[in-house]
Amino acid sequence: MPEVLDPEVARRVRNLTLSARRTVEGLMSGIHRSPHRGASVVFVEHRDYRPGDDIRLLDWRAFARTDRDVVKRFEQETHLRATLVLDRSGSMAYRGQEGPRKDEHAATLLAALAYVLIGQGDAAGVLTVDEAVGNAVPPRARPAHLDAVLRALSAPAAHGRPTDLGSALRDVAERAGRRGVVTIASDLLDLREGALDPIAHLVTRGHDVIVLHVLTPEEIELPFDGPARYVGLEGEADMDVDTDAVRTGYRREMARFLDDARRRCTAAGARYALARTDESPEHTLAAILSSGRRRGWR
Amino acid sequence: MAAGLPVLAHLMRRRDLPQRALPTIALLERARAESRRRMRLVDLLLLAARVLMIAALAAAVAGPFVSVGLAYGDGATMSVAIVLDDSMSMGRAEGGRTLAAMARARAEAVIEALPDGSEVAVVLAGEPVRVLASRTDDLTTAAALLGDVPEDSARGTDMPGAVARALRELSAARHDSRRLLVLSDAARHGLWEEVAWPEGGVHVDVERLGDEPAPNRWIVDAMTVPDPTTPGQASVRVELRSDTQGEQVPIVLLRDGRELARQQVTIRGGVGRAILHAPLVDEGDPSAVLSIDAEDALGTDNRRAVLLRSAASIRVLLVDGDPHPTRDRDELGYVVRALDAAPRTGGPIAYQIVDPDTFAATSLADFDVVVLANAPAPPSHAADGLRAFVEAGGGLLSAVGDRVEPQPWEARLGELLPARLRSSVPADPPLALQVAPGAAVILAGDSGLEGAVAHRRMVLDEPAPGARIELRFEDGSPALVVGGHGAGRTALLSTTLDDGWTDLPYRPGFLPLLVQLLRHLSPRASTPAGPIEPGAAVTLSPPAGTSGFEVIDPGGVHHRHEGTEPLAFTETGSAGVYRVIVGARSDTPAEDPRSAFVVAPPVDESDLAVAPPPELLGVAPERGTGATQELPLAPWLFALVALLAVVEALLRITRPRARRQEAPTIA
Repeated sequence: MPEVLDPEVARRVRNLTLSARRTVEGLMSGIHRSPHRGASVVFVEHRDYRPGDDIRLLDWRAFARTDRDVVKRFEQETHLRATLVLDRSGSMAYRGQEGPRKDEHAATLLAALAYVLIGQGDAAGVLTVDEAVGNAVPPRARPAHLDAVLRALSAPAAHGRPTDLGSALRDVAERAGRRGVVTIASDLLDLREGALDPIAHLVTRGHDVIVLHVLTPEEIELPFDGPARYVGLEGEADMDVDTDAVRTGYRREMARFLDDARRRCTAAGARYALARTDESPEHTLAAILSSGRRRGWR
Repeated sequence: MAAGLPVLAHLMRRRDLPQRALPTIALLERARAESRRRMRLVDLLLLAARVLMIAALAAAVAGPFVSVGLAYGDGATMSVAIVLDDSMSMGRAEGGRTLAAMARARAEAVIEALPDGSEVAVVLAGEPVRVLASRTDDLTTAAALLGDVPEDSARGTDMPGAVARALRELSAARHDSRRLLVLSDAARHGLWEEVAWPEGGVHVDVERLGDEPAPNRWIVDAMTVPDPTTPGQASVRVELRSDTQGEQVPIVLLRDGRELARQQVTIRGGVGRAILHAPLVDEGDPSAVLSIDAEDALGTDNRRAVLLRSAASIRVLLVDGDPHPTRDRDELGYVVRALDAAPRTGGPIAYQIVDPDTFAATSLADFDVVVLANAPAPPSHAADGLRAFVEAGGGLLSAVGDRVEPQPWEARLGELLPARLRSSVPADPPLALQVAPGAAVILAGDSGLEGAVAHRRMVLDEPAPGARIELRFEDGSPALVVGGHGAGRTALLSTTLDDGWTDLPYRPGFLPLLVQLLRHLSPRASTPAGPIEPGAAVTLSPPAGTSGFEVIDPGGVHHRHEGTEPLAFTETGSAGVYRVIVGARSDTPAEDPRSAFVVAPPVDESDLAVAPPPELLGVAPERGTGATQELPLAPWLFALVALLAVVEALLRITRPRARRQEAPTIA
């Protein structure tokens, strides 16, 4: 197993059950409910025949009784198709005073998900993004596919590479294909207007979108003291600042940033969770998956 | 250079800043932009406080000092006599302050600049010269006395007298360093060329106040006389002067704020004259004011008080007992000459001469005083008329001579005489005349009668009760006795009014003696009709039959006088009308318009031209006469450092508070 997945983490996450909020379309039968009505064992309803419907689905018995052309509908069990999107821009290479780097923490979260999904027979793939989509591992359900997923997640973030989250997520929407779960692990540090708009686009296309907002405590709290020269990780200009003097304002800006990210995601229909690097991954995943279960996931 | 340390430290500290990576630097930039707005002012103040503190500390250690000019003197103890000109011309205003106020402020500054132990004396140069503060080392009290110096004086200037008086104050000064400081407008009416400046031992500073004066206009003279054409009307004759030629100056006569008359006066050759008409005032307050409407250098001389009273002159009936075609041999030759030469400012004296026969048939109703000069005893009916005249308030002066026979006089006029007549006797050698102690009619001091002798005289008994001896012969016998009868006053001269028995008419004191005597005897006009100068003495005699009087000065202050003796009233420092209320104690008080008098500023004071520069008078003028003194600044700088340290600490406390405000907590 690649080093990105801590065995201990993998063991603890293994017991988690990933449930999708919506039933997704899948190629494989599985434990997830599919919205496709078809050849399955569980009858759902009748409906009037429409031109183009498969005539094999006509319920002749009903036709005989009611003289109406009706079609039988069945609920079909299907596989989950999950796309794991990892932000590998320069800002994700940041490591706080303690704990892992942000890209490491994000990879751990996504790897845990992949481990669970593949372990239960669902398909999982990886897309890494910075300015655009980088590595792409298509979703597969084979157990051997987990290795490819984890390798893709293990590649470190590129220092100094800027984020163009809007462009990258639009690219993701194009590549995600059929409806499924898209899980994005990113610090969302693209403050340009409309950078998160593609999330709504993904939801519109039927994807269940999960946003894991990865930040370190240092980014959130700015716990440093005294004057310092702050250096950006994506080529920003250095800044000489008396930390004590700006802490209050910084926290106000950070609160505004977090609130804005949460509001934009939930307004688009996505699920949002703040994934602090000083919190355990399973805690974050438990929170996000339990919210999915409340929404109708098994 | 040390002041740059905080800036240098700031730059060095900036260079050594620790580097920290932060992905959210965009948020930090936003926060800094907000923080900058709030903290920039505090930071700048903090930097400024630190720079100033170090600069002040460095300066304090260097021990700097500042040279300041002393208001006066060299900082050593000294004795100073200040001559403060408080004459009318110092009432001129410049820049909203009168020169008098400037002089007072300067004197206060000089006294304040004197070190402890110094002596100061203040002499006022307004006429008459007065000592405001005798030489004293109580500088505070001396400075406080300056507050009593008025800004609107009407006095003349006596600079020679003031300087002499100031030098007398310095003559016994305690300190070797002696200074005389003169504060004046240096106007030429101050008689600077007559000032006796000290030869040595006293440092003299003359400080001239004010610049060149603006043109001035002033009332020179105002005289009220009855209008000869309209009974009950007065003619007020006015003379103006102006520095501006050919202008029209409006003049107004006001009484109780009401305009009585107005006229435009044209100035020609620097002089303008006018006559204004107004009703006479026989009862009550006769005061009126002449005012010229002019925006000029000096306002005090634009107004002049006048009295609208009738018969301003003393009307005298002279009975010539020994008339002669040649004036020098006439019994009244010297008297007439003296009355013609009497000063007009003292009020005119109108006289009429009659012989004894004519006198017997003359009505006395039109006269104030009758003078019997070597006249024989009048017939009975004339004597009765004379008695009634005196009892009604008229005055009688009797002078003896060859034609006076004691017996008939005693028989006809005895009760009117203040002393009984005995007989005429020669005096060989001649007897000198002397002013008697306690004389009231003849003013004390230089009477001008010194050396007068008589070679013949009428021997008199001691004066009657209530009568008083004004002049004595050197043997002690009375020469001039004054007394009263009824409401009138009488006087008896035991020698002649010509040079028949005495050389009195040759003496310079003859004219004043005669004028004062007639004024004393006059019942209704005992004060001069013309104006007197501020500070001059005025002899006021209580009317016969009254026990005292009150004088109300222009400021409304009442000056009470009890008794029957004449009073030399000297509280005449203010210009204006002085009213007299008679019968102040037991009698019914009543205003006596005939006793009112006017004090007017001296005409010379209105000439504001500046005297020649004092250096031409042999005196080195010095402006800003104080030396320089070095004052250490270190104590002030250390105090500033302490203050800045407090400010810096407060700013440092304020700064984190500003940072900590509203710190949000992010879950």
